[in-house]
Amino acid sequence: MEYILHLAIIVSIFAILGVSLNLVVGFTGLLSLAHAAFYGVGAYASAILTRSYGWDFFPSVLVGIAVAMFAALLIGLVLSKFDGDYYALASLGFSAIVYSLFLNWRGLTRGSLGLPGIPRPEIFGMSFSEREFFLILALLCLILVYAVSRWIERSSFGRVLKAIREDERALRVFGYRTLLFKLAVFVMASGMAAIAGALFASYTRFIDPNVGLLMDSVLILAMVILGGMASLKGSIFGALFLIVLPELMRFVGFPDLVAAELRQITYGLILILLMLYRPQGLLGKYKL
Amino acid sequence: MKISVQQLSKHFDGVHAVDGVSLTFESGTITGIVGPNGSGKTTLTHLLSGVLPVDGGAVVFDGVELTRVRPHEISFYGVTRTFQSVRLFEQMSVRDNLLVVLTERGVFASLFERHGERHLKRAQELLLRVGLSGKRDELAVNLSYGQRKLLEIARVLAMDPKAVLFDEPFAGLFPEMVKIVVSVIKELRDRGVTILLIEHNMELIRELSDHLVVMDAGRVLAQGEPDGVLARGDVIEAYLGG
Amino acid sequence: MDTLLQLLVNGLVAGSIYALVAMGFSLIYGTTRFFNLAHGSIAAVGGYGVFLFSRLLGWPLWSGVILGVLCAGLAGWALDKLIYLPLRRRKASGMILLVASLGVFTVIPSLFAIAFGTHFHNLIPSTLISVLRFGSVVFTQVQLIVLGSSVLVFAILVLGLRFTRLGRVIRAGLLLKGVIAAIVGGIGSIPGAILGGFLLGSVENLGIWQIGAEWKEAIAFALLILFLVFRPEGIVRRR
Repeated sequence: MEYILHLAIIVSIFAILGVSLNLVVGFTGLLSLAHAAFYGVGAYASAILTRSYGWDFFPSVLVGIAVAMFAALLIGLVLSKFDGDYYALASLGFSAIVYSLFLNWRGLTRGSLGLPGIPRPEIFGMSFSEREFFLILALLCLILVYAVSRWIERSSFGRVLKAIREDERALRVFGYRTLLFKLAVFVMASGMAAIAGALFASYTRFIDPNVGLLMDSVLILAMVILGGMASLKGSIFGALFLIVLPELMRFVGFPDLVAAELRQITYGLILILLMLYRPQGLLGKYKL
Repeated sequence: MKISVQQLSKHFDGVHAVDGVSLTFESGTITGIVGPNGSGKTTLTHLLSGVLPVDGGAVVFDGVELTRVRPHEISFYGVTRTFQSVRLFEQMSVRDNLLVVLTERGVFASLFERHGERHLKRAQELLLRVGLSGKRDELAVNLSYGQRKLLEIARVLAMDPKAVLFDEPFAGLFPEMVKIVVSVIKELRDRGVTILLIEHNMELIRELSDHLVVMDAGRVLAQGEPDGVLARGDVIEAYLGG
Repeated sequence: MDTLLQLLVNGLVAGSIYALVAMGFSLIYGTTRFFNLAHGSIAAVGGYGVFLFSRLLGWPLWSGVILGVLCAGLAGWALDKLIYLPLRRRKASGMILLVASLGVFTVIPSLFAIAFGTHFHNLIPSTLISVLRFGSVVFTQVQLIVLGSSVLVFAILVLGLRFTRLGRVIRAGLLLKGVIAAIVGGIGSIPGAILGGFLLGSVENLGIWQIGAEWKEAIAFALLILFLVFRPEGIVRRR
């Protein structure tokens, strides 16, 4: 039972990441591999504030969101100079830079030693350290993120994002300053990713630079593509599928020693197979 | 809303696509632009609509120097266009293709706007006008070639323009569709809109143009009253020779 | 000052490695418009090939290098056959190819980690760590090989492109069936240089870096030279 709770929490956290990345990749067509970096920023911000400065969880998350959004603003500005393939590569580069920051800014992050002893959240005096309660917290965050994303999707802004994905140059002729829209969605998505990061840090109670790793960006992207581009519901399924599947594999008897690598291979293979046989994913109506 | 083009030029790798072109387009008139392939007609529309930056010269519209205006703002002055290679938002519905042109342009404004009754009504009107009302929920990518061109026309109307640049709007259309487009263009002209019409179909050019410009190798070869211009020796030469 | 020179030299050597990878990458991109993120992984295949043959099986280093190169070439060809070609035949968009290569980029290093473990491996036998001095700057024999080779390759590539019929054909954008193109496209140098910087980030995070420390790069580099000269990876057979 504990195990299922654990899985549910992890799935919720990654679902938040999937839904938010979908706004950028699925709706706007920006192939960003930097998403995990903002997740990492949120994790570190919240961890540092709660563990070293005794902040409450909620305010620490707000700071995490703010820092991630600021970073996204800067990174997004640079990324906007690129398009298509180069965008992906550049975002990959930023992912690596942020990882490097986590690793080397030892004064702030303790580098590869990581940050242990992150407290479980306490909000308005209520403690969320029990798994059941934490799951509720995680689900509430997911619902919040999902609701905001749906709202974005249904607004005129959402329609503009899709048009950017379809033909940005033509859209500009009709009076849209597409750069601002791209920046806006990138920044909003990064804020959501930061929430996931803060949740993760508080749940696992320990983080290290690997939290912002490129591989996680690839994983999240796989979730978005698998679930279906521009399908927010799909991203939740994508998260469910890609978290649960490797766990099932463990039951089938794959050695734990190579578990991490096998997981990577699974994700990579799924991406390749999806591209070959079903680029629109499970619930998506839009092909990459 | 006169468009005044002054010494406009654009070159690519040393080739002058548009070479010192000066023209005037009056409001409430249709100016046809013809010429052999590569004569610079489409490049001219790209320059006028801000898709390409100019290398030299100026475009003045309604007293505003469009060449100094940021590309995405050109439409604010009422200039709109169709594309020779029809550029629609493929994986969006016909209705959404129009809605995106009818709704708020600002980031914050659009974030807090949900399309309302009046937007939907307007979209429906426009689709009716071009004969696409049955295709409202169809994805643009699934439309036939002719239907795609009609959608582009509807999109132009949605912009409520003061000037329209039509780039080969009739190519590949069935006769019934041609009639629709002809009536739309005439209606715009009667409303006082300044119209540029690039077209290869000479019959339609003769029927529609109040004024005709012939381009060749990036320059204006001749201009004037359509029948007169088309009878000129050097114009015929350009078409046969090119 | 001496340290500065030494650093410059080291930087030059490392830089030429990156430049080589970049050249291969931009060659592929220039001819096929395919942004192959997995390019570095193929380089890693070469590296591990050398490791396998010369270290684990104990064969002489030079044969190991050649075999490693061939392995890399084979891997590239296989990937193209299995994944990229079918996608291209279906007129898949650039994004789809990119994501597919992302998948490969994820799978290959993990396979290596399973097969060879995640710790560093030492590839160079002690014979090559002899040292030469030029004034106050120290070169190792390997570094010289590296530098010399890169200059050579670059020269071959540039001259080949310019003067041979093959080169002209490739610059014209055409590819003959079965032709081995080990030449940087005219499009090559500037994007290559820019990409070099970013490739640094991704390549360092994975592939070559995983094989080992500084010296490994040198071997991987020598590898890539032969690889590019004899059997470049991923060249599409345009019909």
